[in-house]
Amino acid sequence: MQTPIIQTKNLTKYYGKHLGIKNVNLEIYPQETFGFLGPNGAGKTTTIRTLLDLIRPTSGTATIFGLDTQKEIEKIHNKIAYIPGELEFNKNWNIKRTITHMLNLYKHPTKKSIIEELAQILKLDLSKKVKELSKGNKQKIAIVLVLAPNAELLILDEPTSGLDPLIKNEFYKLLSEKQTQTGCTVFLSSHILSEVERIANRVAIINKGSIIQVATLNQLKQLALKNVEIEFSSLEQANKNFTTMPKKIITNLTIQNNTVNLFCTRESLKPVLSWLENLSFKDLNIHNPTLEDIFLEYYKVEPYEKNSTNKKRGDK
Amino acid sequence: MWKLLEIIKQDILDKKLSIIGMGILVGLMGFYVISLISSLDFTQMQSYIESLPEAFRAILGGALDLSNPYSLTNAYFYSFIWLYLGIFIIYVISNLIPQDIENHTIDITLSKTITRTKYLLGKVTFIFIFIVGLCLITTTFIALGMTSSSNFLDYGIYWDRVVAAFLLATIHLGTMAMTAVFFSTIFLDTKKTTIASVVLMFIMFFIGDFSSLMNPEIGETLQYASTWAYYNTGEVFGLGNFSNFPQNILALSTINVILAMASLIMFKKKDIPV
Repeated sequence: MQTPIIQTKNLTKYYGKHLGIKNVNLEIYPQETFGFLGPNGAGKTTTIRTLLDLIRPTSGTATIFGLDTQKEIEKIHNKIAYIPGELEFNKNWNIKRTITHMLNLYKHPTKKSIIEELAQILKLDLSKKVKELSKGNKQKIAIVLVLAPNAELLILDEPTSGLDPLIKNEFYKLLSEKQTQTGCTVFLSSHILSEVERIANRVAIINKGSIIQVATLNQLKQLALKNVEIEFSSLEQANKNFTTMPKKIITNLTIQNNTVNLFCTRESLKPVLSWLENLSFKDLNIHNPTLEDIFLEYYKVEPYEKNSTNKKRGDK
Repeated sequence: MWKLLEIIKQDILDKKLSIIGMGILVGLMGFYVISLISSLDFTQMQSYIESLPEAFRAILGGALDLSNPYSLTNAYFYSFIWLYLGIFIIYVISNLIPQDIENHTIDITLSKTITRTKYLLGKVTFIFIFIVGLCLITTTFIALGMTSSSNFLDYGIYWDRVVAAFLLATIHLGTMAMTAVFFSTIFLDTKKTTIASVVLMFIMFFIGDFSSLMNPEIGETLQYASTWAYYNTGEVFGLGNFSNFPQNILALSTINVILAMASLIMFKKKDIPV
């Protein structure tokens, strides 16, 4: 079994009385692209900043490359490239100075040609001053800072915020190329689902400081409820059939006009279809949930409620 | 090591104009003080002071020694260097770490291969380069003033007094800067750091310079709680008396080291705020 690159055990952080994260357990493996999803204020940045030793955990431990983040952070940082969520640079510096300074803080300085090449791809004028830049252009500096060094682990906290779609695409292309060339591991935090769906193999969903699910995207889709729409010829018929429905295995049952709308798990789809075999209906539609549906469902639920929901599903 | 130098280099590049500008400004002030006293007759001045009533001389507290051009330069310049340069230094240093935090650059910096210890040591080293730079420029102007003043030339040019005053001023200003560093590691905020440092500076000034005059019994001991008690340029620069100089240098240096260590401990413990 592979040794995880990032491993946290019951990582907890309180800011005074206010909870940041609680009992966060994560394992991220080499060459994985791991998505870290959650709404604003869920604890994504707190987890990342704890991993980077910018803040100290109240309890629990974290290791990166098998090294304790509080004891051997210098060794860890030498193999990491990081984009923070809230990003600013010294306003009076030009871009070249900003990038060169940051990359000079690594043990092995980065070649100038790599910086220039990335700047050209991202259409970044290195001579411009930071104070003249838009948010998106500042984000491009961060992208250069994360892609230029030879890092084994990329920690990206909302990396594409403020970027236009074209540059966003370019960033993902560059990131994918880098991963192919170097085999680096990517830990991507975001609240933008399409972003995570595009590149992540596995995701963790965090809400109100607690991890509520860690799974591959396929597993998440399988866990999610399917939406079944049955159109009958009349409202009367819809109402009549409604009474015979196997209500125990379905949720959110509604009737609108002559259409019955219900949700069921992948496992309970079979009994629903067998029940439908004996009925005459006009039309049948089964929708797979989008990732957005899945995550919205998770975000709505309190961590403890989510656990009980999972249990219920398991029971079925 | 070179990562530490990288931190120092960038701070020097950022603040070089401040060092040169402020150094020249305060240096010119010193030059002006020396040129003002160049035409004075010190023998007459001293007899005039001695002719003043005892009570009036007590108000001056014996601090105003006007017996020679060195002591008068000290009274107008070195005695108030904390005011001319100290507040400026506190203002600059209070910004140094909190600014990195307030604009979030510290997150990226500390995510690179640099520990908090090295980061802070880089900042502390820069601070001393900054102060030495300021004091070197001002001392150059003082030296220029001295060599072009007939009063100084008549009295004699004593470079050992200049060097001693330079050292005392540098280390004394260092304690003010280190106080600002210490407060900045506690508050991680520019405004709070500046206010706390300036307030403490004035408290120290009053304890050091006036406590023994206001209440000789308590003040004689209390004054040593202030760095001003060890900053005695009146003795070394004004009178050429070096008997307490090594102890004063040692005391001020120790305070600097203690404050730097305390800042380091505090900075290593603290969470870097978002």
